[in-house]
Amino acid sequence: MVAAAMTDRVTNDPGTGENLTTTPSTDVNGQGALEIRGLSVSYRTRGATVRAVRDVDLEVRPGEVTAVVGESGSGKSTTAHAITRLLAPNASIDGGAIRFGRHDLSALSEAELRAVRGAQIGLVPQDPSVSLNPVKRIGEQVAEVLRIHGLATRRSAPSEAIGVLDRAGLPDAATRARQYPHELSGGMRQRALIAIAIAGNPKLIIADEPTSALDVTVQRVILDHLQGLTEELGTSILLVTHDLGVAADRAQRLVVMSQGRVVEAGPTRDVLADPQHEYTQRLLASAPRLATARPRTPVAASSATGTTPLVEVRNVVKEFRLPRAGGESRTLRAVDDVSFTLHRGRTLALVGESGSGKSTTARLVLRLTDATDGHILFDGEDVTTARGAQARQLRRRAQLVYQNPYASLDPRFSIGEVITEPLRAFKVGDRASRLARARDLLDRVALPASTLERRPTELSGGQRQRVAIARALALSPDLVVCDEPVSALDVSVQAQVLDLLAELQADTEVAYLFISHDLAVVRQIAHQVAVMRAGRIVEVGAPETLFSHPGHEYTRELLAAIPGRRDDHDLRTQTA
Amino acid sequence: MRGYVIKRVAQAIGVLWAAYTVSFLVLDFLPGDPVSAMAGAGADTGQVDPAQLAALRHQYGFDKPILVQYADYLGKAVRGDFGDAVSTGRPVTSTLADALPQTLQLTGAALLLAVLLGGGLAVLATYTSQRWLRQLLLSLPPLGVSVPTFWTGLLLVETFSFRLHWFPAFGNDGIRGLVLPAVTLAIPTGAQVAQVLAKSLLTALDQAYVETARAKGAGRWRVHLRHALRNASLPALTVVGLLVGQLIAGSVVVETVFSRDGLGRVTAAAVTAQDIPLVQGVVVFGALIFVVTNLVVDLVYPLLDPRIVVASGRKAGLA
Repeated sequence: MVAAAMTDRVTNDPGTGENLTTTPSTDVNGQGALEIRGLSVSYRTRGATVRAVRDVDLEVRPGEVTAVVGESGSGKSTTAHAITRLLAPNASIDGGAIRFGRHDLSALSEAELRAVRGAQIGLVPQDPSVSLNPVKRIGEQVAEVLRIHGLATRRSAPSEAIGVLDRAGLPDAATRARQYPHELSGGMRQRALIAIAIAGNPKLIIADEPTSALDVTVQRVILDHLQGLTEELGTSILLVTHDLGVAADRAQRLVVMSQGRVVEAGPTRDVLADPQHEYTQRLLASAPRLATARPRTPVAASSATGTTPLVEVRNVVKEFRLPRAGGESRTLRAVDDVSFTLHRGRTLALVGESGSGKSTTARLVLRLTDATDGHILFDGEDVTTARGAQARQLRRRAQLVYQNPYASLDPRFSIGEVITEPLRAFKVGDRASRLARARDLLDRVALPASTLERRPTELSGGQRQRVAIARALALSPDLVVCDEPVSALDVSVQAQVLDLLAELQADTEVAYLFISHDLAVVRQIAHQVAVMRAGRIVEVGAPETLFSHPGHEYTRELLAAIPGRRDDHDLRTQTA
Repeated sequence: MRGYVIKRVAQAIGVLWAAYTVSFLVLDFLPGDPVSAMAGAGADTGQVDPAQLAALRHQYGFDKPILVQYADYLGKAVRGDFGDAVSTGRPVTSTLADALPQTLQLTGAALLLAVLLGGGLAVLATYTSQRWLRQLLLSLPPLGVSVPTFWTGLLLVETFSFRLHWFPAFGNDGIRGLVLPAVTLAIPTGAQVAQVLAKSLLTALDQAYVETARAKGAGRWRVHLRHALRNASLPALTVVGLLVGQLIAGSVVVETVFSRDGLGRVTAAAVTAQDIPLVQGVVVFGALIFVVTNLVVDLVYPLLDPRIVVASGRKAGLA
């Protein structure tokens, strides 16, 4: 088995682009489900051509899951979309053959390809919140596939669509079919999209980051279901993901891409156990897996005891009024009787899934929203209802780093203006001293001083988040609230930003209130972890004890749902 | 839903009151008054007896303090009585009612043409894969917006009436007489519809759900019309609501150029004669049409986009 697998290994050296070893593999009929050879795709941008995919070879065997992993910009998504030519208008396929069954898809006309799309190759897109047409009912959108390919008549399509939705695991499919996308949760929308993908009984499903936008527990259920469906029907899957854990759990074969090239390909287990290419090794090393995650902060020795806590939250409640439905007004308890304390120089992580109330809790601490009940103390002072000068003082001492560095920096500001804005707002120093402070801050977040003159759009995601951190530190705050500060970043960049945060804390004694859905990230940075669910804190503890001996059932559930922890028997290859 | 409509009607009344009050104040600030204008027009030869003028002013109430005048007029206006037009002596309300059908025909036809032509242009321009054709089509709307109405009107009359004798150059005779003025009025309006719709169509075509539709195997027309168009139509609908006001304003020029009877002509004549009661009537009536149109537009939104719920309370957002 191992020997056979080894001969399947393909390692490309980006320098030469040559295959070191390659053995074309075949199924019993002498045909792979999908075989891509020498695919190259480029994008025309103003004045320049960007080669996004270069000479990629890839193969999906019948009934198997092949995962393409890589960071953003590696060309994995472009490769997947090039198969059925669902590319942006400025993209062009420069070469290569895409063999699917008996056809070469790259030689088909647009009209011939339309007969393949939806009927023989289904696509599960990345973001369920924007991938369904907002003004059409769910059932209609599934029925459309059947109607386009003549698989149902106008009369039979609606009821058949309900059947497909049911197969996709959508509970109460008949009701859902009559609803609009905005009335469904993210997980349900993704099931509707899966229904669209499987409606035509395709031989191949291309799943482009199908669960990246979903909570881990939902992600697991959806991936389980997708896998079950395809095993039952013998469908092959091309799974595109940035998450090595997901790939390790789900795929029989792994294709690693970097800068438009395939750098390594082979059976998942072999690639993970013995990565040949330097890039794969790096990717594996930076993936924050619970088993390998090491705390970055030396646990400060007894700094907390005896002193006043920096933040003390006592039995805080936050209710939102819901839109009236059927006469009576209802309220949503977003934060329900939450209490915690946070000391200087420490990090408290709030962990939970979307809707658990963690972001609202942070907004309460920052006084960005009013508490319905309870007390919030900042440095011993009750700030629950702080207004005017007191609230402004709090703004100065408590800062925020947002999740999305692409949206949180004003694109018209230079980086210098971004960083000095808090100083200008509080009239700290003069022009020269503010600039000196900005230079000093950039140095602290390891960006060159020349960055001052640049604009946010000229920076990468990781660099932008460094700028956001520098801005948060400009006023030397006592508390920085980090709202999912690394979720929008690639794993290797995530690691760097987390290191930076830990370093800054060691230097400045700043306290972090760290909000995350990612337990592995939390483990690396937090001194204390509070697990939230439905507005309540269900469990608090040090990360080591919490993760090794979770007390609450929900914590156990969260831990189990993290990808990359499944047993080996799930990684079996069907050819074996 | 009912609460929403009631609230909107209350807002509309507020808008009408504001329109009345502002126009009243502005007209009061103008030098001269309708009585002297009337006397000037009637007596080319020489001085008019000041005592006679004073009597006339007294008859129309122009000698009373401004606040009293305002209260008098407002009180009557609320009951639908805008007084008599100074220049003709006929009641303002019936003058407007007589002129209304002609103008409704004109603006209605112009609006229909504008939506059809502008919408069609936007759909074609965004559908075509020929770059040159798209560029050409997309350059038409800015042109249509920037060309003045009186100039297009004169050009159309010159070509289609005087040279080709296809349509009459002026007057109110039936459909044939309607064509040229409606086209004239529709050009700038349709151009704005086209600009907004083309922009939002391009935005919609860039959305992820369009890719989902393509991945289903949908053809380009299906993607364009069934998926993108409905999503793109909301901003265009908002513009249409605003354009109705512009159409009424445009009818002043177009009815003058084509010598058509209608609200526009009445307005032009009333302003020239400083016929304050008539001008006030026109202003309030214009505001009424505008307010009603926009209420209709707002009520149509939820039919096009299920995410929009009209509610009497403020829109509640969930965290």
